[in-house]
Amino acid sequence: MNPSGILARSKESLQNEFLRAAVRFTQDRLRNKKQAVTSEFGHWEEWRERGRQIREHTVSHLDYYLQQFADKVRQTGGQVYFAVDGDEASRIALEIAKKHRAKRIVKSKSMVSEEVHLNRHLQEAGMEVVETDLGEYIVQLAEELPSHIIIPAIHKNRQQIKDLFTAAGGEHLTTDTKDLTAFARRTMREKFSQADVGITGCNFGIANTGSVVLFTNEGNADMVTNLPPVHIVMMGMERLLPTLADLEVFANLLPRSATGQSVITYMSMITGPRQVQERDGAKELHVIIVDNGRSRQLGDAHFQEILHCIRCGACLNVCPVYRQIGGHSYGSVYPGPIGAVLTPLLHPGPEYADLPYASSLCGACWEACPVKIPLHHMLVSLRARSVAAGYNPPVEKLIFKAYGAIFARPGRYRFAFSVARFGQQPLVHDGTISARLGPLTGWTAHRDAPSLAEVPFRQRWQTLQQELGHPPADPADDKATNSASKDARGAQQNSDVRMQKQQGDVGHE
Amino acid sequence: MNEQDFLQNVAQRLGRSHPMTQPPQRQVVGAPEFWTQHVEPLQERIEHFLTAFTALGGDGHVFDTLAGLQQGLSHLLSQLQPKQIATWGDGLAEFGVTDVLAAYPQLQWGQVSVADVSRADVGLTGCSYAIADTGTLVFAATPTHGRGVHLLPTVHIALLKASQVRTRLGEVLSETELSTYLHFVSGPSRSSDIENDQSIGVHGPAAMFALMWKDI
Repeated sequence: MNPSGILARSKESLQNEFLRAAVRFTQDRLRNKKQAVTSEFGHWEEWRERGRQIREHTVSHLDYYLQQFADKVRQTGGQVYFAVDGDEASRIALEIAKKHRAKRIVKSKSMVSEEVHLNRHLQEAGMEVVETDLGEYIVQLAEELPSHIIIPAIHKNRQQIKDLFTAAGGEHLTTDTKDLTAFARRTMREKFSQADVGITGCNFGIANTGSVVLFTNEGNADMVTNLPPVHIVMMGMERLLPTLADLEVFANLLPRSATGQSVITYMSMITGPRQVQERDGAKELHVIIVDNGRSRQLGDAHFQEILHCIRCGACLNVCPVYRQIGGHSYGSVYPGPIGAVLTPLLHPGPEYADLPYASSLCGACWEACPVKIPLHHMLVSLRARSVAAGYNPPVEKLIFKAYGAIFARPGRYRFAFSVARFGQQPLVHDGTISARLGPLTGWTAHRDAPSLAEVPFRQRWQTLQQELGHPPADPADDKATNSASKDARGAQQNSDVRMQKQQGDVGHE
Repeated sequence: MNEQDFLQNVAQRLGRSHPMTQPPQRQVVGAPEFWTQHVEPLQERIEHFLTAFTALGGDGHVFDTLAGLQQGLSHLLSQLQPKQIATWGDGLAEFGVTDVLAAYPQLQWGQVSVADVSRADVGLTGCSYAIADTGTLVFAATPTHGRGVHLLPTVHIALLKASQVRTRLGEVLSETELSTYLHFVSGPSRSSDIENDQSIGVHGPAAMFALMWKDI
């Protein structure tokens, strides 16, 4: 695969012991809290199904709801823009900021703005952009990318955070959380009061009221929307819900799935800019609706459901692969299972074609998803797409061709394994293969590979049947054995191992 | 991109020649029925709210009379000893707390700048609704009910009436008239962004009090 791809990045992450411990700790904490809070809440499957139905309905009628939403935003005094890609989205935001001669911009956490590299565009135009979510602020000071959707700075320890804050002007700081938080509060208050423009994402847009709904625990989005005179909202085009009644479902699903909280600390519903007599709140509201590869998923039987995602991060918190490699290994804004699917869909081509392979296809992501997106099926479909596009190395194709040919016919299978049994001899020591070369390296670099049994299971089957008191099998069963499921083969191997141990034979097949 | 082209593309991807103009039929709307049918009687609702509000780190008290609430506020303020209190001013008229507040320097919304309010130790507000299920207080921005009063000071005290308590979020969403800014606040501002260690007051208030007058 790509030498600069996810494998290479994972290898780097695997060297970082703090990161690995932090990811494990965060995963366990969020997953356990979610489990506790959902079982206390009850009817969780009913809520998930309701969430899925509402998202499915909305996405499959997105043309209607987008029009309705845009009309309502305009009726309440806001302005609406449609951006076909990231560049256009950034350009629109930049133009609004320029029109107001903005020098200072405050932002609250927005995945889509990171997706379109908005900060870079604004900074290149000479504007100061400050991320105001505590975790995002830390990541921004470190000039890195978030490593978790919900807790962006889990890869930073308190000493590193203290150093970053000290470099940002903090004096006499300790590594105490309270101390660090207080510095952030003081610094941010100043930034909020000086800011010319505030930029937020949008958790949900309500189509029939034109409301923009934001969820935060810190309250930073409220400062960003209320203190600067101009508020720009950047939202993915699929972020809609038809009505406020539907919001009740997602106000219950999202915080429980994201952090195991029964309720989000701040749910803020912005419907138009401030009225003339009001003394706070932004005077202008600009809503930028972004496509950037999303509409390509509409009408696609395999992938339309990816647009149901509500960005809770629950799939990260259960993923065994994310647990090992952390967020940065995914090399894009969206880490974990959602990133492994969404990133190659939004950016088709060879660059991210290896992401869907960063999965054991265990399906834990699907089970955790509050709107039941079948991420594990999508991962398989994306692999197929990657093969069809020719992104995988030719040798992989050869290997699978050979595999197909050998396993399709008992004769070829027997012949291949007798050759292998002979060929392995120089590599076998004490019943295991520990050679560090050839195609087995991925396995043998860190553990021994089992050698092939001297007498294959299929040859011993008749004897085994007799020992178990069953009549000898018909040799025509060969075919049945070949097409047996992977699980059944695994079970046979296990019983084979036990049998060999009894016989004092350490070889495996 | 041109709005029409954008919507036309979405419609075509969904298999339609033009964007839908009639509202689509819906099988289900909002929360499941077992949930929407659940309404708690008043006393249960009040207790539910207090339990949930406390679980979020809030401090809630119920008073049978308005005089009781005024005394409660007086007592709380004497403990907090704020240098300045930001208030809704006339927006608090129904609670009759003018005398209680007279002992403290006040910043009344509408008469001071937002920056002044930001420097207050205590923000004193009413609210639009309270939600028993989640311990949430709801604030609807109006010219007299400024957004900053419950958000900017270090401590927030909300005065409310039992008649404002609803069982669940959905009731508020269906009853309320949308203001420009409807804020659902559930406990003090919090963050776990530093080594998963929870800290409060990172942006919004670090402490929240709710004083409820049992008006019905």
